[in-house]
Amino acid sequence: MVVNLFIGLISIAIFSAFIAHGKRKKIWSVLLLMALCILSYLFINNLNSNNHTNFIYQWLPYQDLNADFRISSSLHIQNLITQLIYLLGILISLNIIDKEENFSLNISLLHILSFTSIILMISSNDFFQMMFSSALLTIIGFYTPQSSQTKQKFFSRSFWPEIICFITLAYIYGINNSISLSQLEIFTPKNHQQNLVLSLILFAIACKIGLFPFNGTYNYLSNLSFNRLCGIFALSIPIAGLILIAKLHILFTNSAIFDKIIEYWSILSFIIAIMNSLFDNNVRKKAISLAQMILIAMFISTYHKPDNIYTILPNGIAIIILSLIMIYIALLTPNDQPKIPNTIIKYILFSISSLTIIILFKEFITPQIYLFIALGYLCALGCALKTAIYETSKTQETSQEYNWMHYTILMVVSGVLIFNKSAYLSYSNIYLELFFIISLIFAPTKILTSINQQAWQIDWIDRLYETTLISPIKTLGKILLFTFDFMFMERGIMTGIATTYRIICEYCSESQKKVDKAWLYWTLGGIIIFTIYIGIKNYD
Amino acid sequence: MENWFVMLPEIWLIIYVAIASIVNRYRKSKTPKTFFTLAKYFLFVEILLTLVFYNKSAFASFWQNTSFTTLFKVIVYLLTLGWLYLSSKWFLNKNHPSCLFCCIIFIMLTAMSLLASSSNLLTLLSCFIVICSCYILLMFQYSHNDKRTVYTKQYIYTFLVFLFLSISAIFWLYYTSGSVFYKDIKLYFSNTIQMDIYTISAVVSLISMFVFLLGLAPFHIWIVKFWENGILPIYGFITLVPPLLYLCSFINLWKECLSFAKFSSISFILIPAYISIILGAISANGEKNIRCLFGYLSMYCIGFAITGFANMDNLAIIASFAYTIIALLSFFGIYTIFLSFKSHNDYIEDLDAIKGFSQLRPYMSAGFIIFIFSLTGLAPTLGFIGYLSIINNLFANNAWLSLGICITGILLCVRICLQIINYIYFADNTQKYDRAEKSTYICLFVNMTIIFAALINPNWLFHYIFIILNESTQ
Amino acid sequence: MINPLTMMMLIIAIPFIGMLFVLISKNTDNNKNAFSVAIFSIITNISIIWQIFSFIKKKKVETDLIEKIDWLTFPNISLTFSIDNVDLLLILAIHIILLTSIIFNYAHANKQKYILTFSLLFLSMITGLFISNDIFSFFIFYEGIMLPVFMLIGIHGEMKKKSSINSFFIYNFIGCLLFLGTIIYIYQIYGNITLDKLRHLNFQTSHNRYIWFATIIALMFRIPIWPFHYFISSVNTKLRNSLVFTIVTLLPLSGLYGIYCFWPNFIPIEISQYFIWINIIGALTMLFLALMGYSNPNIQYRIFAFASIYYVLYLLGLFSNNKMIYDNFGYAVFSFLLILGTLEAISNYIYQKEILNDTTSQGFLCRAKKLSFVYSFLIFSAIGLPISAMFTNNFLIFSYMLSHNIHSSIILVFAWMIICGALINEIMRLKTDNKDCKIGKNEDLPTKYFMFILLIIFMILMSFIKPLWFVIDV
Repeated sequence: MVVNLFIGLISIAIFSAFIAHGKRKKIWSVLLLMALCILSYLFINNLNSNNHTNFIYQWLPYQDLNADFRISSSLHIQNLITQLIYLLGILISLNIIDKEENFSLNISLLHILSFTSIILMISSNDFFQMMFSSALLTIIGFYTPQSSQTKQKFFSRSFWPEIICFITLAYIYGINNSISLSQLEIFTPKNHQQNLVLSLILFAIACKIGLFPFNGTYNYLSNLSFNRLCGIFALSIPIAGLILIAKLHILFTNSAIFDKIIEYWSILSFIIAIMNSLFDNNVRKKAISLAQMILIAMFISTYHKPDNIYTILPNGIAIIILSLIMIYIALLTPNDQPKIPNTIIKYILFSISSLTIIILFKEFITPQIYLFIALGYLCALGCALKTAIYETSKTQETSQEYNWMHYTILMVVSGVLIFNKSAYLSYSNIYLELFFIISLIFAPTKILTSINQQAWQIDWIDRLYETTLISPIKTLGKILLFTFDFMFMERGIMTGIATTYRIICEYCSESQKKVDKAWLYWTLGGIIIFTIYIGIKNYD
Repeated sequence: MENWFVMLPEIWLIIYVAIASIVNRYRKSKTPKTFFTLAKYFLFVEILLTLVFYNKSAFASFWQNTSFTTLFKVIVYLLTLGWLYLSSKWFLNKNHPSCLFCCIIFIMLTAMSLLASSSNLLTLLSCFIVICSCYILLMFQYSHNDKRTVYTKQYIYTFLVFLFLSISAIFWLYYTSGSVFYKDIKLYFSNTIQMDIYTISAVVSLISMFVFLLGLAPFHIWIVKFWENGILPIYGFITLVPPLLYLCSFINLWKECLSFAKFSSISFILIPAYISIILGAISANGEKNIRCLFGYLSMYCIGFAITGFANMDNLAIIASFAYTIIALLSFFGIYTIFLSFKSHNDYIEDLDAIKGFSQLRPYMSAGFIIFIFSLTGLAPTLGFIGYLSIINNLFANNAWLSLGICITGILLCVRICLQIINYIYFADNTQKYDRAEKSTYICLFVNMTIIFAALINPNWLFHYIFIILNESTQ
Repeated sequence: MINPLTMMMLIIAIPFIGMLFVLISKNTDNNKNAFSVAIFSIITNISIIWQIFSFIKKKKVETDLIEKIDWLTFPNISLTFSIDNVDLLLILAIHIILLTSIIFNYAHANKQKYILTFSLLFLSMITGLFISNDIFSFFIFYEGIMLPVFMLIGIHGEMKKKSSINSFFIYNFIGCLLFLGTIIYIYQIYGNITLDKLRHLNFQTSHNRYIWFATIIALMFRIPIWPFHYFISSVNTKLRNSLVFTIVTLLPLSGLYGIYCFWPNFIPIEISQYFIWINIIGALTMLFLALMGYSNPNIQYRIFAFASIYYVLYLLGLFSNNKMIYDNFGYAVFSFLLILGTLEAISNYIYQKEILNDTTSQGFLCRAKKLSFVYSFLIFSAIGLPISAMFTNNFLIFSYMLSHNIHSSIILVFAWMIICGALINEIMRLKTDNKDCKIGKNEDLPTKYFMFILLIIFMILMSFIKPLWFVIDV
């Protein structure tokens, strides 16, 4: 059943890849959306048929490397997919209604592919499928941003975790001799470089999710259009990070130190994300921090209970999308100048399209989702109204606007806390609550704003990377190239051999040709050699 | 009478000399081509006659024909035929009288064919004298150098030294064993347990005579002068044709007569062979004159062949023979192409002048690289089979020193080939070449076909030869 | 049903005959005839390879695909040929990448005739190498690859310094001589045995241990192992023609494949204790090459470093003596070759555009969508993301290395990561917006080229998802 959906999605993706370069992309996008609706309808219709057989294709039939290509149809996954597919619909409709998006079909295609990769990743039972789908998400993530600068930063930051994960899992396979995820627990008691392995995996996941020092990666995304931003946060690399932690969670059991590390690390990251969302002047960066905050919450929740992933993933993504949409509607133009008529039109369009989906599939929508969406609408409506008021009153003071934004953000945070119980439980921490209170008190003041700016403007991870890794490698390479290849081999050995050999050759030819008495010397030399030979033979 | 009848092949060669002289004296409309055409028919008949009398010997105490010698002779006649066919173009081109050239070559062929089948030390000596005299004539007549008198004198001095040495050796062997016949000498010395220094010296002197004839280092300076100063037909002839018969004669002498000295002087023949391999390869590397370059390479190849058969057993001779045949084919191809290295009616000798030759003559150049890589034994050229058989044989005999020298030689030789290819293919063309003769293309095509066919199925070329060699060297 | 021997011989013969046709084709400006002949012969060969695949599928018994030909009587050698899936996969990969390179190269190269001639010769030789099943036939083709490679480098490498070509050839030739020595040694002891039997020898005797060491060292001459990588890198990195570069980069494959074929079934502890040294040398080599590749802005150098690092990695994989890595070798190398060849063809396409417009290529990919897609996909698969069969092999090799010798493996992993970084840097450079870049949108990959590359990408993907997808139902 999930397989049918999977295949359907893939075929839609392939079809749209073929027409992606043609004209009338908007119409095609709408058709795509409709196809998706039909597909989801068929899928959801079949939900009650209790067809829970897994699709398994024996991929590598080795005994020690038994990799399966598996699409699970468990109840968890079915529910997950049911919820995610609405979000996919929302994302695609977002692509359609965004007028500035010239490649709506391409982006929708990427979303669909991401979605299928997530299905693959969540149903994976071995390293290979997991890494494969994770890599697919990375690659799709590479194609999503439109600016090359962003693409670069984004990809290089999400690629290294991929490689590190690969090496760590290779190591684990070397010890465990099995790529099955269910056998990961064997690894733990053996304690083979356990801390190194765990640190590497944690590093990879932190990179993907964007925990504190790596959150800069997502800040580069601030120049993206909102639909692409939503795509990246909702269906791309961060989600891969979450699934990774859910799948590899078993490695972290019995390591108290990592529990602590993760706890403090995520709290720190969370606080920093909130700070940023509250005090940054750039609205887009605010939005990104908000999304990151939600991601961190999801991460904590998943870390504490991996099974949470099935419920937390759709909810979290819904919140991310909603909060992003909200800000998008509030301040949507690229130069951050509100345009009221546009805003309202887009809002109405979006509402209508989303509502259509909801009406179509209302019986399958969980109350939670429904509530989120309703809340989102309310917030978005509020914002839209606010901007309308703002525009009509012609107030030029930005501070007011930011106050509005602060409250919006706090509202979303409370939404996260209320609706995502498990997430709330996992970080119901006294420090965190204290911080909320503090930030609420200091919100209107600008003390923290300057601190925050200072902390964010320096991209120190980049510098660290450049100075400690890249420049030494480059210098070392150049030195090696010059000293060994050029000085030692080329100038030293090869020239030496060539010169010596040339001298010998020239001497040889000269001794036979240019000397007048050459014949005499050579003949005499020969006779002397023969005489010596005869002497030796006689002596023997 | 029967003896004279069986001698017909040799007499037939002499008849050519007589007829050529008569034609030269009386025919008015003679051209350089006349004598070559005549030579062509004579050589055809000669080959037939040699095949007919392949195991008949006239004056059996002086000469003994076996299938072994016949094989060598036939190959030599074929080579001569091919080379004369090509040489005629040179003579026509230069409009140079060719009668003397043809006559000397036929006299040499007679002497060499007798040398190959001689079974008597005196025959050997007389053939040696005749051949050397022919060399003197050739050097004096067909050198384009002002110093030819000096070189001829030098050659005569060296020749006299070796004549003296060989006469002394023959005298000593006759003195001790009381006979000049191979069989008697072998019989006598086989029964002697200890050999004295004089006998060893005599054997060594006889071998040195062959070293001198083959132009192996260190007695090679005379042949270097030939390469430098001789005209192209002479150069080609003396590097291609005689060595094969000398080798035949040497093997004959060794097996029939000197094998008693095997254990005391087997390594002797290796000394000049080693020096030739290394010196030939190194000198060729430093050479800018293309003829000298290939001259040195031919010296290297002869050294290689001798290293191959130094063990003197059946398999060694077969290996060496295979190698020699392949090398000869390659050299023949290379010399064929030499005839097209021609600019403004002058034959090019300088390596710099063939820069970028491939750009104007692609097929010739393609042939050229195949031939020179064949000389280095690069698989899958035919040369590989030759090298393979020799190295395999050296391995079988655990001749590690020879193996080391051979491999060093091959490495040095490869460098020369690369150098030549650098000139022909990788440099830009600066020169214009004259139109190549049709005969060159014909010879090249035939040669390539033989090489290609032999590569696909070596048995086609070697099977019967191996059978003959195997039977006759048992 | 056609006889398998005929089919095997056909895939060697067709490129060879194609070469002859190309050689005699008329030398015009665009050499359309020669190009068509080359393309035709490669496509014909691919279809025959397809046929053989289906033949293998039908025949369950491997012995049906072994054929013996009597070749030489002295020394007694008969050549054996056989074929299996791995051989066929490699042959197919080489055919495809040569086809790609020839098509991409046709647009901007002069002297097409020579380049096509030698490429087809190369193709013929390397196909022979994969088909050969005994030591001599293996050697013949192993050495036979050298000639076309050398000629291609010299004529079309567009190198400024020619001296390094000679040292490159001689270095390789030394390896060949060592190899020749070894196989003759094997021949002396066991006769001309097949590679299968060689793998089953008992390596506890000293003879066999010598055989093992000499063979492996001789074959390693082809692989750029530090510090001898200089001979290969000095030539390889200076080539500007993509077809020549691809062919020269395929040279180490012959060595690697040799080691794959000669790898014994059982390795005694006396031998395996030396593997640690090979691991260390391999890791150092990789680190050196990676560092040099990273610091060198030239993409050619980076691709060379990438290829060499993977060759060394696969070598270490074979040395790990792990059956799974051994079994996976063919699939991994298949996709590696496809990626390597296509990557080179496309980066050279970009380079040519750069030359043509006299501008920088930085930012070109921002405008060329098709090129961007193709190039980035190839780079992603090159760095070992799980979208090609390379991933599986990397995974196995790294897991083995890391679990057995974590210290040297960390160097190895580090080197591998550096080269991945170098490749990513390159694509990032091309995708960085730059107003100085004058190459416009219309210089994007033509659609037919794009479709062709898409086909290759499809094969790369399928090699990951289902190895041997096109013939075998596992």
